[in-house]
Amino acid sequence: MFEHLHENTRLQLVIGFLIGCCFGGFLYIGGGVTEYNVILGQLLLTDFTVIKVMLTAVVVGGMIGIYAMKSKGIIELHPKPGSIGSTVIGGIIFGMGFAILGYCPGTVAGAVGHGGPLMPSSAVSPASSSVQASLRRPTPPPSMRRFFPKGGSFGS
Amino acid sequence: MDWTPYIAGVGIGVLSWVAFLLSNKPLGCSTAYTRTSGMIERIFRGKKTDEKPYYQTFAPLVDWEWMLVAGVVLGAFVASVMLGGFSFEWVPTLFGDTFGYDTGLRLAVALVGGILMGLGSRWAGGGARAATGSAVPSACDIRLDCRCRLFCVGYCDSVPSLRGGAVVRRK
Repeated sequence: MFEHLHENTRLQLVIGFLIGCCFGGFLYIGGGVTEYNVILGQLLLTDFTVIKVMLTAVVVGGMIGIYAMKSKGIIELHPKPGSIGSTVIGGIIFGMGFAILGYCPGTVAGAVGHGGPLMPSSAVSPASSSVQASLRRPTPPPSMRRFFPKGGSFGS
Repeated sequence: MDWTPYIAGVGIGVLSWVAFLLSNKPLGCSTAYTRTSGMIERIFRGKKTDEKPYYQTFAPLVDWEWMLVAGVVLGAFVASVMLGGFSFEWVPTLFGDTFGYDTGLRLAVALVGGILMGLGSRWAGGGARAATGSAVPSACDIRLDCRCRLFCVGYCDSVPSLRGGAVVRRK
C-alpha cells in the first residue's frame, strides 16, 4: 500500500521529521517526561508520570495497533538478532548512564527542545556514542563471546 | 485526575502505527547520535572515519531516524513555547538541590552518564533493548528501585513493536 513511500528516500526524511515533531510534542505535553525531575522522580518512585505515558503507549502502539496490523497481514515483524547476554550487559551499562544523565536518547532531544536542563547534554550524547563507534571491531570482544551465543551485533 | 500522561501515551502509540505504515520504521533514537558523532569525526579525520567497521554498517549520514530526533527537538520546542513552558535551565532543581547548582559538575556528571548510555545502547543493540536489559540488573544502581525499572523502562521493549526491538516490514 505504501511501498512507493518507503522507497522515496527524500520523502522519508520529511516524514521522519514530521513524526519526530509530533513525538516531541507528545513527550512534552505528557506531563513533562522530557524533564529531568520527572524522569528521576520515576526512578525514585516519587512521580509515576513516565510509567503512565510508556505503558499507555505500549498498550496502544504495540499490543493493539501493531499486532492488529500483523494479524491482518499488513505488516510483518522482523526481530533483530541479539542475545540475552548482550542485552543484559548493555542494559546494565545503559541503566547506569540513564540514571546518571537523567534522560534517555529520545527524551534528551525533547529536553533540548524546551530549553531544558542541560543544553550541553545535546553535545554529550553524540560524544558518548563515538566512544563505542571508535572501537575497531563491530562485535563484542572475544573474551565476552560466551555471553553472546546468538551474535550480539550492534544495532539501531 | 490528570489525564495528560495517558493522552500523550495514546498519541505516541498511534504515532508508532504511522511510523510503521508510512516508513516501515520503529520509533528509535539512539543510532542517530552515533551517526552524528561520525559526521563530526569526519570533519577532523576525513575518509578514515568511514573505514571503521561500525560506520561501514551504520554510515554517518542523515537518515530517517536522524530526522526523527531533529523533529523531536523542534516538536518539544514548539509545544513548550505554545504552552508557555520554555525556559533555559542548566542545572535541574532535583540535581541542584542534592548536589549543588554547579554547572560544571552537572556537565561532568552528564558526560559520564552519556558515555555509559551510549555504550550500553550500542552493546545491547539499541537504546530500547538496552533499557529492557537495565530492568533486570537495576540493583547495580543503588539509587534506583528495580521494580520501577522493570515496569517503567523494561516493559517498553517487551512488546517488539513500539521502539527499537524489531524492524517491521510490509509484506
